[in-house]
Amino acid sequence: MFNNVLLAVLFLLLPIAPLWGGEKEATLKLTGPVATLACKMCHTWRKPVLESRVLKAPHNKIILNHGDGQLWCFSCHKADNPATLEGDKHSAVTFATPQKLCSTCHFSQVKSWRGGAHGKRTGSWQGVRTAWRCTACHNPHDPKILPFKPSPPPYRPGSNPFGMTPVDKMESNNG
Amino acid sequence: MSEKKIRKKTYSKINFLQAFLSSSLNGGRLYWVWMFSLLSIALYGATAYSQQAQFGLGVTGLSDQITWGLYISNFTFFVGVAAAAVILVIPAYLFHRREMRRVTLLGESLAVAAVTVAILFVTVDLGQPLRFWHAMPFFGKLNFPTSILAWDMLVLSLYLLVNLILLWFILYNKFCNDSPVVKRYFPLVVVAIILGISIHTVTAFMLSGNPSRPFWHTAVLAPRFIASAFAAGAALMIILFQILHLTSKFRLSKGLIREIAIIMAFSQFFSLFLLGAELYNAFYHNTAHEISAHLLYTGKIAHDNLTISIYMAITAGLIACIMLFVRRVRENVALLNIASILIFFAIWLEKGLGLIIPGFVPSPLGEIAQYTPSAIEIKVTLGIWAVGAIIFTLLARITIAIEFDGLRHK
Amino acid sequence: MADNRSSRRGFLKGTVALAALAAGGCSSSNNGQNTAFGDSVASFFQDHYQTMTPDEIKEVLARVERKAKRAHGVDIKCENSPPIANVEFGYVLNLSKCKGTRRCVEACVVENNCGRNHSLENIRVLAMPHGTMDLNKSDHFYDHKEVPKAGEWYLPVQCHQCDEPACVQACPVEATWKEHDGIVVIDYDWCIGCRNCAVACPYWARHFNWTTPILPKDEINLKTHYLGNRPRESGVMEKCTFCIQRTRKGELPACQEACPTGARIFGNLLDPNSEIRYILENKNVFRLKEEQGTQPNFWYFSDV
Repeated sequence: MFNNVLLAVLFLLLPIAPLWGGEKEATLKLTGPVATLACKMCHTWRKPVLESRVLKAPHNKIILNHGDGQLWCFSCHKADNPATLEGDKHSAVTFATPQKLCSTCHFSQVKSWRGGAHGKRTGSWQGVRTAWRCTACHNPHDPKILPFKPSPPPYRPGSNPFGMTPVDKMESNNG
Repeated sequence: MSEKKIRKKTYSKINFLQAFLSSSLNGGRLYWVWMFSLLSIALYGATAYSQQAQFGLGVTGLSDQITWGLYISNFTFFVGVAAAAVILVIPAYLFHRREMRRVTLLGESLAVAAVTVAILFVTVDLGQPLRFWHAMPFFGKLNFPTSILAWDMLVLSLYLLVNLILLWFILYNKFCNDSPVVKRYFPLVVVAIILGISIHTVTAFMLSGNPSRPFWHTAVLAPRFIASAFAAGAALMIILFQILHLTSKFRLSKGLIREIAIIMAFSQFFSLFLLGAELYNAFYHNTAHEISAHLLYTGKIAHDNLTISIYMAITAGLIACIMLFVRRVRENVALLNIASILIFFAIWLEKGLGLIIPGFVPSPLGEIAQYTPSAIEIKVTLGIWAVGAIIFTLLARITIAIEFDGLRHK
Repeated sequence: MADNRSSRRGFLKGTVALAALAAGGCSSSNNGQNTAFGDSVASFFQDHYQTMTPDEIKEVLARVERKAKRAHGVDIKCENSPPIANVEFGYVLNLSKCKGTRRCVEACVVENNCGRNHSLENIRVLAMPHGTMDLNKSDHFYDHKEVPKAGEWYLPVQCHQCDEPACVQACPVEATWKEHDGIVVIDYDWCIGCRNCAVACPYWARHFNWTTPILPKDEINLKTHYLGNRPRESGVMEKCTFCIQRTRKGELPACQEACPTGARIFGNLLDPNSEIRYILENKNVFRLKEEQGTQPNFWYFSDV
């Protein structure tokens, strides 16, 4: 009797099984800004230029420095709807899930990212994890991470301006 | 035991303390000049320490890179001096040199003073000295037997205790006209010998048990400590005994000084031999583990001062060693004194600052930092030395009064 | 045994506290309990963290809060959240991603209320020349206009929360120990300040409060943990606790959050689905100075 009930419950649970057993991304919340582009304003009536060219307004701000000159807008953007991305088997990918496109070339990075070795997690180390999406760190048109200004170096022993000597300490207490 | 007898004993204990006090308070002009100068140095050190207590160890020249300095260097050195009392006790009681037995009491006085000095040096090095009770068994939580520092605290206090008991027992019984039979306190003598060797071995283990500090992480450190301690202790005794010979009723025999000189010669030879073995390991291959030694001997630590000191120490040690192996030099009092002074300072440098500081350079993360003791550190150190000298003076006076001047309970 | 100890100490406490109160009692109100003087007397007799009863700990936490109010004029909240069951923390650092920005160091100092008057930083970022792993060739004080600088790679080092911690072994008074979740902690109120742990640590992860730490009032982190970031006093050791005040509540450590390049990965070694387990199982990780035999819970790997 009990076994039957258990079987029935398990059977009922079957449809939602992928939620915990399926792809890891299902349990991964993504964070970081998502671009909203008004491509349709022009591109419903104006066909995109499919060939490589020098970009003019309104696209002149885009510096394409990705893929050593091998890539062009439509390597990633869908020609018929540039606000979506060219996914696997020509499916449309939204800007909210860029990894689905990035993985077509950078499959090993995306694999690492899924596992947690690449990219960055925020929030908690347990439960549902939140990951920064690819485009939170990498500008898709110019993906190289820019250099940083480092935070100041540590003080060498005895050189801290706050002071280690009694005289210095008394001054900082008064001030 | 009858009530009368007990009362008699108690009275004589009070009398013994009275005798101790009067021996401390009666002295010639030289004695008072000596004691007052020591007391003023001690007070000078105490005022410096009060500054350190108020503002923290930040008033020293220490840092996270070089966390131990002058204090711990002196600590290791004086533990050695304390252990060196053994070089009198072993011949006196294990090899039955009866003429040495009377002098062992002075050796024990020196041990008591040196252990006290060592304990004081550790205490001033603590960030929270008021929490000393955390290290007391039963009340606190002594991390025994895991922490070697806990071992060190234990054996040092035991050694102090055993030496005080021995001094008290022998002197008090003599004072009561009741020369103690050796059999009655011989077990304690054996314990004192074992503890004497232990204190310095454990102190060496405290340093050599750190794989993170390759400069110390060598099995040779403990034997090196014992050898150099015997040499430095013997040197100090030769000088002190001569001073006592000149200023008190204590009489130093030529034979005794000759024996101590021979012990010093062999100890110094072994100390140098072990140092040489270290140097071979350090310089035959150029490994990263030996970088501290390379920095020390090539002048990259503490503005070259330490390098100069270590070369001075090795040279002085070598010269003294050669001097001591020449019979005519060894038996010439003036030359022997020069050799003793050379050895004392050579070892103070070599196993004090010359051993502690290079252990911290480079830091485990490869940082090369500098260390210069601050004025406060030097004042506190002088103060502690003065305290040690006061303790030795007081103990030596009562010892000499009873052992050599025939002071007895009436 | 524990009963004996506490009764002995109770006796000591009673007599000496009475004497102390008699000596300085004039200035004390409220039975001297909540005054600075009463608090310092009580601190003197305070027991070891691991042997205190829950009631005693409650008292101690309140005292820590009062002391912080007196010393820094702020109302901190001091907790003692226990380890979470089935959790052992570990850390992995991606050396290819670390660009030497030192953002982790900055965040750590603020999060953990480290004294600004010492070079008391629980993380050191070493600039290493290309082609070597020799720490003696590292530069701790690089101050470039921009990082990464050509020809350099960066090696951040902090407490490795070892399984066989040399520091815990070295402490003569058991003031430091390893908690069940893998964090090596210090009872700042029990530490005697001998610095033997700092001598023993192969990672230079232990730092000393050489004087009373100076904390800018508006930068004090009010969320504190007894074994973690509560304001320290002069003369005690401190170290990285993997931000115990955050991680025991499920948050990530401040250094991980501050890292702009995602080089730092923190997680639960006992959770097979954790990021850290993925890395340990799929990447070529190594541990720094493994030959020291301290079994660190901190790994490095290099992967783009």
